[in-house]
Amino acid sequence: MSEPTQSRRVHQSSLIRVWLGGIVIGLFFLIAVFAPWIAPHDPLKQDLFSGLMAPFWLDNHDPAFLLGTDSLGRDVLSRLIYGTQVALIVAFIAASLAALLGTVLGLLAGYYGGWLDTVVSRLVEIWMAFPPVLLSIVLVAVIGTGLHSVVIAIVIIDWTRFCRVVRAETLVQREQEYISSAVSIGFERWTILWREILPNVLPLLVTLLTLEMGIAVIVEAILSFVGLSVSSDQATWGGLIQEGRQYVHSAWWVMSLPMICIIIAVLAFNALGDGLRAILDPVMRR
Amino acid sequence: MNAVLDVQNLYLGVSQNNRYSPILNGVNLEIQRSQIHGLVGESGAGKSMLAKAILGILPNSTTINKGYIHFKGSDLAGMSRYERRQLASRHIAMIPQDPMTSLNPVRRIGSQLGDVLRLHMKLNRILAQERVLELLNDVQIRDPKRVVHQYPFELSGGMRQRVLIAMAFSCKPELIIADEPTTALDVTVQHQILQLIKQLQSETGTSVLFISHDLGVIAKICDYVSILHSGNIVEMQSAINLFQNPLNKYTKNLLEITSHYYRFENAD
Repeated sequence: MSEPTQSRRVHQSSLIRVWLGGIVIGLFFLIAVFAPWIAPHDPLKQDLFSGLMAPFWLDNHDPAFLLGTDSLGRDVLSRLIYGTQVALIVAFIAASLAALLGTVLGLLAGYYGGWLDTVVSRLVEIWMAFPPVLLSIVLVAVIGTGLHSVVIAIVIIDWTRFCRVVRAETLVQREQEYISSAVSIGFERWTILWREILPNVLPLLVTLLTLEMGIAVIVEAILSFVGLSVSSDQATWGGLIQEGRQYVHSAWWVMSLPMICIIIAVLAFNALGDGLRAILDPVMRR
Repeated sequence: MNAVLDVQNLYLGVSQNNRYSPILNGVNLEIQRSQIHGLVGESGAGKSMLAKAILGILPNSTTINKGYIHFKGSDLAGMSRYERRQLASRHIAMIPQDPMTSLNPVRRIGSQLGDVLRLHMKLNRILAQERVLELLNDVQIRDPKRVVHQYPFELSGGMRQRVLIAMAFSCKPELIIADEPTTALDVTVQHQILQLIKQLQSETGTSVLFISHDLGVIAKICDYVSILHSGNIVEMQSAINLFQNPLNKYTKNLLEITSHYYRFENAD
């Protein structure tokens, strides 16, 4: 009798995670969409006379700049708000494309096996031998900076995550009885892959996708930090950290506030992914 | 005679790590129209492999080396997957051994049954869903309207086996391979499932190859029985003759052991 109550508790805790993660990401999303209306200042407007001002809860603050200013007198809050745009665009687009590429290759390799599997598996192994951050830096350096190159870099680096997991899961599902049953019924391979195997891989995929969105936020920040992301006149979280780094002793908030944003966003994506995995899987939903 | 399926001199075996081990050594088996044909043998005799060969779902390591499986004028043994889909898949269905793992765990019952109907009976989505309700009703599932929206884990083993039986009979096949369909079920449910298979078989006139290691079950339902022993059919007889007058020594032993076993059970 204790089992149903326990599983209900598991179910409830994952519901809470989904809600928490979803609400936080939803908020970030709203902030990104309505950035021009929310941001109190132009994120690029410099005011060299009011540089490195403290946020509102410290001395030496100016009520006009809630979270202070950076060394060039730009409003940190406005820059954080505009940085959300880049972070979310990269998170959603890059993660989705990486998921698409990795899933298609993983499904095909896992299901068809043979030379296709050999090629894909070796490719993944070679890929994973490169240090991912260095690889992305080299990539962006080669294809040039800009939002699209960041997305491309993340897709090229992170498709292997999806490919490995989806391939492994497909291998497991392929050997299940219901697959041989479907083969004997006479479904085409493509139908079996699409209607029988993919739904079984989906819960895992959704989890990975949301986790990957968190990772994409971090990678984008790293690329911004080394100055290889979007052009430097656009505010990004990583760019803020990089700029704040030089003044960390005199104005810690310029560097710390974007870090906090990144941490909150990544935590929210992870919570959402974890909760969704538990809820989406009908067998676990029991 | 009027055979639905005619297996002739079938040899198959597993190759693993360059070692070949034979499983079937020249099996001959004829299944007549509208009969339930029992296939009996101990574990490892090759019953399931024979079933898989007929269904075209042999594992990759297993190959057919010699022999024919004649079905509707073509040879299933030498068929590609594509030819099989065109010629045979619709007409040979199966009732699997383990109803727990033979339904897709993450898809609803209605959609799984509907897919089969849409594939073979060319029904559209709406007609297929109506037909699914009828089929579930035919296998005596109470409240089919609720069951179509349920996932396999929400049903009991007996219910799932009923769903799979509905699936097997759904496209009016000429032959159904039932591979130990009651082994995974408890005794009371076993009896109901046997009754159901027998009833549907006599209504539709489909032939059934009924695989089991349990002579008691075979005696209840089969018209004709083949005994498979270490890769060979050692005896093929009508059920009545087999139980009264077994010809082969192995069959005699098997019957003797079974009767001992039942005596022992009844002595309790």
